[in-house]
Amino acid sequence: MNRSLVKQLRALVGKENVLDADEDLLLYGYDATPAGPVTAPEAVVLPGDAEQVAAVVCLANEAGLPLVARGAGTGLTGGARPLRGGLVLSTQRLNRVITIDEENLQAVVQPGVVTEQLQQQVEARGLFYPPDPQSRATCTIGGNLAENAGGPRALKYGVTRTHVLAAEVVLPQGQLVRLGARTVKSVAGYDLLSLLVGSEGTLGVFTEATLRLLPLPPARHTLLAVFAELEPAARAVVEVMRAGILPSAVEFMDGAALRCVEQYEPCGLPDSAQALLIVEVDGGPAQVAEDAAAVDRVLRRAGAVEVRLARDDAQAADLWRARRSAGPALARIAPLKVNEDIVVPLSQLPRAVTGIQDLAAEYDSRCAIFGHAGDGNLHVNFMADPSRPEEVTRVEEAVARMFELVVSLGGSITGEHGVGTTKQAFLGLEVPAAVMDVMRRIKRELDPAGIMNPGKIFPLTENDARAKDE
Amino acid sequence: MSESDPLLAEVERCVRCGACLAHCPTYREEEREWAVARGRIALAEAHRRQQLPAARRLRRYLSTCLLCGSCTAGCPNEVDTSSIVRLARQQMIAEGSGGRFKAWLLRHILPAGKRLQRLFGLARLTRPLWARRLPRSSGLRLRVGTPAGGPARWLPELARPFLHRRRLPRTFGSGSPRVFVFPGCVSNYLNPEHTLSLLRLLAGAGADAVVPRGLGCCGLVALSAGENDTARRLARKNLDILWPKAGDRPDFITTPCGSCAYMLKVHFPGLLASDDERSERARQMSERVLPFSVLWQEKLFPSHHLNHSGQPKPPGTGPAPGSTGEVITWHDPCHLSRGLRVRKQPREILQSLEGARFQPMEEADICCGNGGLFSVLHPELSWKIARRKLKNVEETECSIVATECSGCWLQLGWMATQSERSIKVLSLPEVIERYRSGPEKK
Repeated sequence: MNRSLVKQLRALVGKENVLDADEDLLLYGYDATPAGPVTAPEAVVLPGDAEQVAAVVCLANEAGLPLVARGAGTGLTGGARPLRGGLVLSTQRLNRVITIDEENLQAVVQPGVVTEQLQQQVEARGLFYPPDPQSRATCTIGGNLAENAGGPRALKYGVTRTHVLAAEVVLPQGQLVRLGARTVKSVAGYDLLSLLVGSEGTLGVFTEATLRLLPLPPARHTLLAVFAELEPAARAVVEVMRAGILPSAVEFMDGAALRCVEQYEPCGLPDSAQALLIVEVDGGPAQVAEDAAAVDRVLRRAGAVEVRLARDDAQAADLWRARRSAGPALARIAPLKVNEDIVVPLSQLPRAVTGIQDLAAEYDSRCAIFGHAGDGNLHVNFMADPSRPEEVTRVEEAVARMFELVVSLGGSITGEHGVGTTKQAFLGLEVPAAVMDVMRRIKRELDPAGIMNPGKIFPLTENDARAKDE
Repeated sequence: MSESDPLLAEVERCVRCGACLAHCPTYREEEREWAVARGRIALAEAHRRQQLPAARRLRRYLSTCLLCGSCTAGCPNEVDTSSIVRLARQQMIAEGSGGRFKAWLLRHILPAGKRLQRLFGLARLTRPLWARRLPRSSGLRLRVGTPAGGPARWLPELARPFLHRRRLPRTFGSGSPRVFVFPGCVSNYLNPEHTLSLLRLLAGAGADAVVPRGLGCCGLVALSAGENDTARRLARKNLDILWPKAGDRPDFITTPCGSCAYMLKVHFPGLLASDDERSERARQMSERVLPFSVLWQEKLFPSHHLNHSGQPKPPGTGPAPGSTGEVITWHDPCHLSRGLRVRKQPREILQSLEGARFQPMEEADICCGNGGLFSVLHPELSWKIARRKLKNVEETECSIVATECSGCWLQLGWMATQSERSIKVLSLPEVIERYRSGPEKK
């Protein structure tokens, strides 16, 4: 990057907050996405306040520099990866919890706050911030907003969007604006906050968020159910929801995922197990006990061969062990893991699960399914050895067919991870051409210079910054 | 999984998920990607693939890893960052890059027993030039290695005489079990009491404890710096004494320092694997190495762990707060807790002490920030990490911090000089002795 630009950036945010050594740039080119190209940015900027963010965005506009906002770099679809050099804007220094307002049940936070740290702080005051993406110990609120992150509790409490009341955002042309209102209700004009949440950094950079909090549920019970067949387990999920109980989580694992876990960390599950459900209910102590008993009955009636109940956190941690180990266990046995986070309407869950297993058999690939089945969201993991190209091709074909199946069942190609770069090819399956056109026009209108995270959601176009260099 | 290069094979297991961000002590302070395992692994990989030269910045970034193993413990794939960083440092040394003075010290002074002894002798003689005595407590305030804007680095007074000059049991007599004691450098030159206290305890328990002549540095500091040849030379020398080809072999080998124990037990067999004459002996020796807390708790039946009615003292039942009993907390050394997976035994020992109350601290197993040469090379970062440790220590309202590693002992000692409270840092044997002879006898 030319020296005068670096100098201008340093003048804006301070010398030590602009990184441009090769050793540093290399480390801001990646995120947690398993595959795909990694290219380093030309500079990393770490602003200290919203005004500095706005100033950096203005400069990027003038210079035609692509700009990628980055939280902790834990995304799975390449959202935080720069594709054409330019700037990475790290929110790491914007990491203050500004207020926790116990009267209005709100927290005002900067984007670099780590999700779990916020949760611990509010829980210490008897409050609750429910969104719990798998990476919550490291991921940041800014990234959660940009990707509209989910997690197991989304079933009962909703995804990140549900909990954002207002936000301060730097728009692609550098305007610092506030969206939404610090109230539970507000219908004043277009809901631009909803447009920004989940826009994957293509429409702005969050500099502050007002989050809605809930009272912390005082009690929680966890049940683990083992099934000897797959389909009854998928149907049991539907039955639990129909029994008039809204669990705080319903997690699912298929036989392949279970066998991986048993090898990695034995949890004492019966050999015959072909599926496992973990159901969590929370609320007042009496209600929770009643709900747990009802769930237990439903699970047994649906064909569970074994149901275990945990009444406290320590016992629950034991039950969650199998589910928590699923990711690492799979990572250990398979060199390449294609992790897709599809979602279907709940009633279609049995058809989706069996359909995907049939596809895996048809394409002769190993496939393990686990996920947040209560909201129809499944993590489907196809495994392949990258040194065998024909195996990789088979997986790619199976994945494409799976997306077709999901969309035909009325589902979505991504429930949590976003489109980024890795799902662009399939977006058209789900989103009609006319809607895609609206999305593209919104992007062009808000970001005429094409500097905000170009090449994400939509492929790179001639409107994007640096298009002429290619 | 086609990599045959050991560094790249381990790197391949890292999927850059970022779980280490929540565990790395240096990342907590710096919040930059170079300061966390994921970043260091990417740097080591780029260097190995010849995409990055071993320039000053790369060497500095890779030298900021404490090798504490917290990232590995929190990693879904248990990626061994410490090995990756050690291999990268090794490669940079093979390429001839790195500090000359450090290399000279590690290669020519550390492994040569006589030279190391002379260096420490010279240091003791010239002390007024590089340190001055602390006014209120024992110890020295160093003129070097002090962080900018931080407190002066503390060092205990050099021992007089050094441990190896003392009259100690050198050959086995009639006790059982027969134990070789490996003092380690810190105990030899700075605090002989760690070893002397351990010897008294073992003798009191009927064991035959001996400090064989000629032992040197365990070599962990060289291994961590990537100086494998030096580490191997030291391993050979120590092995030939601790598990000789012929002559007396002990039932157990112990040491007051958990890091020395880790080096002997975990790394000697690896370093000597291709030494035909020694590989089998190194393996046999390794099986006999027990950190002091494990030896004490599991091999020497601790009748003094029982209370007056002959029952084991249940956990956490010391005198109530406010009573006269001293409050003791425990710091887990990285190499003991994650390196050797020893956590239970020291806590059991502390809980069983009569007249003291064991009060666990928060984050007891987070690195203290010593990390061997780390604390000298990166004093500012080292102090930031120590400051957090101090906060956790002070919250226990303890008057004693116990630990089982000489590196931690040095770092915690430095930390304690900055407390408003009066805090003693003691090795585990010293703590046990303190309460066996009654708390009134200091």
